[in-house]
Amino acid sequence: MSQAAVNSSLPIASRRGRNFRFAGIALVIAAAVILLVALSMRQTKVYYMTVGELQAKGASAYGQSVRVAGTVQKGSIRHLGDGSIKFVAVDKTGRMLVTYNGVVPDIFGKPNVQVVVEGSERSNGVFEANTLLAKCPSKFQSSGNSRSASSP
Amino acid sequence: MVLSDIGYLAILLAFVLAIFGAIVGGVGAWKQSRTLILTGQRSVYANAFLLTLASGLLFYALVTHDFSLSYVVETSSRDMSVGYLLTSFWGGQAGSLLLWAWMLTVFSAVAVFRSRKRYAELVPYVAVTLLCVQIFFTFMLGFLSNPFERLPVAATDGKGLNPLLMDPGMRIHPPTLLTGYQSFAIPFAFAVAALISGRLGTEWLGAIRRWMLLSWTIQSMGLLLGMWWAYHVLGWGGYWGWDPVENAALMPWLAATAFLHSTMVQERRGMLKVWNLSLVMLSFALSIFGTFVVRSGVLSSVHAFALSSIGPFFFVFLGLIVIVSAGLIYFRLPNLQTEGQFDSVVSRESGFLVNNLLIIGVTAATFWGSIFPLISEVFRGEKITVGPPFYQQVNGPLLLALLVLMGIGPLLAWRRSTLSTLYRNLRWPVLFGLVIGAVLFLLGVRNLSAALGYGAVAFVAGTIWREFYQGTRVRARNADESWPVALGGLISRNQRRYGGYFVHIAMLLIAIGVIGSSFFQQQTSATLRKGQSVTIGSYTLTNKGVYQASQPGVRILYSDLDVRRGGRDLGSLYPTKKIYRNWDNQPVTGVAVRSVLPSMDDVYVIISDISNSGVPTYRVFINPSVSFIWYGAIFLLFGVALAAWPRGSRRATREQVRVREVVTGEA
Repeated sequence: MSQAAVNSSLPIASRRGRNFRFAGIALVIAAAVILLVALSMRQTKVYYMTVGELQAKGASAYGQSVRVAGTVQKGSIRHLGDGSIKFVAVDKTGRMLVTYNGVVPDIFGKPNVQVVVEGSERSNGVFEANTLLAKCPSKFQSSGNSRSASSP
Repeated sequence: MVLSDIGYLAILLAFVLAIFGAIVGGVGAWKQSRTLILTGQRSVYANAFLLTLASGLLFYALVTHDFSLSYVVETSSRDMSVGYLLTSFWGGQAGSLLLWAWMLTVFSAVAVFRSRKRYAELVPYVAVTLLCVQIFFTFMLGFLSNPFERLPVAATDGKGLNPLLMDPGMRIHPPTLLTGYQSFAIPFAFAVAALISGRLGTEWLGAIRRWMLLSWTIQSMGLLLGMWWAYHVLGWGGYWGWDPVENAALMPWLAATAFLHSTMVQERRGMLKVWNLSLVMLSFALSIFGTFVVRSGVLSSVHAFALSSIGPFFFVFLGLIVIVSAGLIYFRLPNLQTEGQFDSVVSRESGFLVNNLLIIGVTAATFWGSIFPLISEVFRGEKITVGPPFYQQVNGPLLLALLVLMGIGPLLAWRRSTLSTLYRNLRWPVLFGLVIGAVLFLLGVRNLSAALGYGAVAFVAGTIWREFYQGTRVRARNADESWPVALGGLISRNQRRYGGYFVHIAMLLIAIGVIGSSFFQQQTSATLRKGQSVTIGSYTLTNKGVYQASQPGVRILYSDLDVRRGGRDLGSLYPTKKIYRNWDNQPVTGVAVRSVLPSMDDVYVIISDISNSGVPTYRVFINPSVSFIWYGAIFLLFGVALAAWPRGSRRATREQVRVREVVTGEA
């Protein structure tokens, strides 16, 4: 009850001033979040495309960080002995050689497995992946996860 | 089989009864007819019974290998043990939807039953709201995704559960998360009831808070169990990947976290009413969004769920929730006038306000990152994704700010704190945080973000220590008690407050685990013949040989790895490859992990490949301090149990205030 007395005894102007201050805090935080999102977006965004779409870009895609979806060509997987692998990813309109060093998801060895690789294409046309995700379109119902990444 | 048909009938009946109960209960609440209201409530109880029956029958069909049901064929096989057959229940879409709906009906019945006297004016509307949610899920089960669907010809054996799901963690993590998701419906129903009935005093807040705390706890456990499972089973060396499905589970949890804090402002000062109701609505909408994302395939995720036709229905349902919530809040705006006002920028209220803005900031950034591929495709015609680096860059600083605030907030007095009090309370913890940060930096933690993070953890730990220490000292002096008695008395008289501190301690432990493993993970890959070694950090691993074993339906290759740290023998690790019958070309990698004391490092090994001549290639991770996360989970449960433990809280209030006055210098 003494609170009410304090409130009403305050001049309206100062109350309004306080509200401005709170609106100010809220605005600063909102602006900070938006700025963080916008800046990080610019730095970390990755184009997502299919093998064919990447190849249609030609040399302009070299060195660009991209995510590429495709299917592993049957029998193309080679283990290079040092923990890295090589395989051919294909889709309807393109094919590319992928190298990768990192954890390989368990379902990767299945025939016709769909993969999403993240990395960049080098000027010799070989795709250097630093992330490899595998998806199995059928027989896979619940929350099976097949993520893997070479770097945290 | 007749039994499975009974299961389907139970679902259909629950659907009809949900519609019936919602209409009758709604009319009853409107006309103030006790009979009709009770009929509505009885539908809630009856549906809990019906879906329990249906779920029991699905369990029964799985355990008795009823291969005339397509769901049983898809998710189980004869050679599976009973434990895994139970896992099959949620191994597919229809079963996990049934689990969702079953838990919803059970929670609904408990909520209605427990509140029928205490919140008698609200319960009719609570029942109707919950029945409306049930209509949607029983419709899904009855007409789009029926777990009791029959095959034209019964199969002789099933396809079996995907080997990845054949893990004890799968017995507990998905049901926990599904239970968590559905439980947000209860606080939502109370909020809708309060808005419709116009009873917007503080009495409903207690009901919502308790149920929200329960949802929050279940969701916390679901998330932590998911992390535990990912870490110990999936073998990629981490526990959280900012995948859309993980984000979807995190977002309602974040909204609930925000609510549990800001609700205290309303309780105490009668402020932020619209904001709080919006958070309740938001958490339920996000939990439906989570269920929807998981099921629809709208967002591409590495969690390869079956894509299905139910996506659009979820979308419509989600839209309805948002529209109804916003409409109700708008309709009641005149009754939601704030009673108090912000007095000072340096006050508990403003601490909670900033806390909420930061949490919602994290939620919004996470939401934006998850849906951005969709947005960019619609508006720019190209699909742009963001991965873990985005979330780390955005959420990292926000979470750090939140961490620091966790130390300051509890020391702020309601209404206004004087800067001198704040200075008195904070100077030692701040100094402690700075010293710890600086010492770690000198000891070789040459990562500014990590040093800041550790410093912030130390600072918050310092403030919590001060709270316990000062509270105990005041009590010991005033009541002339010994220190342990005073500490016990302090905690038991202020359960909510000190329960909250224990949850904060849990967050500190989790923060230590996350900082350590995000900044200081090491990894290497090595192909080792028998007797060869690889060294990573201060650890040396030696291959002592690869062996084979077999169990029914599965062949197991395992390697005996000797682990040493500077000459100290840390025992053996046994990473495995399991090859299941029916799943030849999908060998399952078994992780071997050892937490090493006193360094708190996890030595984490998988076999990434075995050559034809039997030489294994290993991938080895050193993950510092991950086990802190699991200890955090224990503290979290303890804190929540303490805060929610029913006890005569009213009796404690006066003393609580007295202690607080002394501690925070509150006037």
